[in-house]
Amino acid sequence: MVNEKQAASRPGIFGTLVRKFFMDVAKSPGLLACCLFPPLFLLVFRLVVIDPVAHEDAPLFLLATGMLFSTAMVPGTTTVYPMAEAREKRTLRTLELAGVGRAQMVAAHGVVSTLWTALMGAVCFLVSGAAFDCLLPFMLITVAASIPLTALSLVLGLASRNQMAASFFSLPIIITGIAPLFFTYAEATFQALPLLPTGGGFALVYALAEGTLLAPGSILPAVAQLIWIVASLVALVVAAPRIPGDE
Amino acid sequence: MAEFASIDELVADDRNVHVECSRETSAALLAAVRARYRTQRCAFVVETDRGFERDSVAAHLRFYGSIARSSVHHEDAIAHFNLRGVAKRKMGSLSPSALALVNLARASLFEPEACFLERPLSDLDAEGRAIALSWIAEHMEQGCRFITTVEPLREALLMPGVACWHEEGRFIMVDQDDDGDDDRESAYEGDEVRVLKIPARTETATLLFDPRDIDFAESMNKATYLVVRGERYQTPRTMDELEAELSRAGFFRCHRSFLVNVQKVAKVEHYTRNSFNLTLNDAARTSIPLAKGRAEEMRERYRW
Repeated sequence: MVNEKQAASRPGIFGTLVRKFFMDVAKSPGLLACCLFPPLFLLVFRLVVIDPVAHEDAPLFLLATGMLFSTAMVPGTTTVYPMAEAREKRTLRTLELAGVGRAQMVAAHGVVSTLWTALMGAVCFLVSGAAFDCLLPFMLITVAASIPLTALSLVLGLASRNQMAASFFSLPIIITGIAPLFFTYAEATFQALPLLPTGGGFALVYALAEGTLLAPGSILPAVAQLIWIVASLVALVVAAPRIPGDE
Repeated sequence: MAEFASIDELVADDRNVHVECSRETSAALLAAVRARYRTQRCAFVVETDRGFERDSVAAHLRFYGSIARSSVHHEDAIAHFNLRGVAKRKMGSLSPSALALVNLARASLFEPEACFLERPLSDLDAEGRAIALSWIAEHMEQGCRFITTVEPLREALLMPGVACWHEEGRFIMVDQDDDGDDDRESAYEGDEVRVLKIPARTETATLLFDPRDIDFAESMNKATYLVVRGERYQTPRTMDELEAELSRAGFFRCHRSFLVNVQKVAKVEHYTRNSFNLTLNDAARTSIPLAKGRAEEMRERYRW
């Protein structure tokens, strides 16, 4: 029997789901490898390319790349694949029959995606070698920039019938996430960064690396990122109920 | 013959019902049960339940114990369903029998008022079947309502409650004669064994079976079958004709639909006061029902 103390210390259903989904990613070699790709890539790039050259813009490049890769790869990996696998292996059906609501599951996956993004963002930051007092702002910007992609991943996760579909759906998430990288090579396109889902965050990381995060020039990217966050969450709330559930 | 005219009528009835039906009908029953018991504690076990394959059995049950938020600890469920030996194994590596028991253990965590089980006995070995039937009978007595879908009908007859089969949208109840036949004459006279053969038909031949090779005979869907070494053969004889011929060969009519070779019976199991099963000594450790009204007669005749 469960005694009163055990019952009181038990997390709620939502907490149980978050813990379960978080550990599912950690226990999956494939998903864990995808999550670790950004910091590992950054580490190899730093050791092989950046450090030998000792370029003054190295921390900026590493921070910006780390943020983009984290937001591009982690939400899709930690959301679309697990949701598709649950549907394919019928574990989603077991959860639904156990009384777990669809909204609870979607929200739990969203929280787990954010937690893993924050974790990988932190590891990327440590690899970049940037000053430690920038860690918290960097993590906040990374998490904020990942929310639109997390929302998109949740919608695609609901729509994926199996893991094959998940691998197809995850591609646009990655491309959308790293798109700002291609906008940095010309001044005109650089100004258009806030139009992208992760562009605002990317510009803010730039400002953070240059020490101008609190300058007036950061207002536009911050507002743009906030608009993307709100729009993506509204789109998620509107679209999710319309996606057919498990039979 | 009593019947339920529709799924809704079956679900609205409060009795424990075990239905032989197709998967489509089972899915429709599942939906109806979910709708009927949506405000009550209800547990569901469906055929496709596999669990998260990278979870251990203990982790799987601990997770659902947290979801269920019941007073049953997952370790108690592990002990009750004899899962201690596989508690640390991954769900993906379990045998079908162990997986079936894990699914029942998961259902037990919800302390259900109603329980829907899809083919709960299909994959179980003899020991697992005993555990499952014991748990089902125990919870029935505590007031939990069970609706199960099974295949074949024999599994429905093993469980206490009403057994039905589905035909053309209706659910036809099996006559379960709880009262023994009073004017049956003694079928066993000393050591006399008659030499006789029982015919059965295949597509290309008529087989003649020695009664000693027959495990049991069962009646299903208006046909009679002999089960010989795990294989079923249809016979032109009716159950009453078989009983008349085979009662002197050591067969006993343990149920309106079953005639068992008593030499093949390994044990008599009872899960509640009114629920008995016979387990045979064949390779599959087959269980067949023993009607309440005939249990006493069998006890007196064979002095056990």
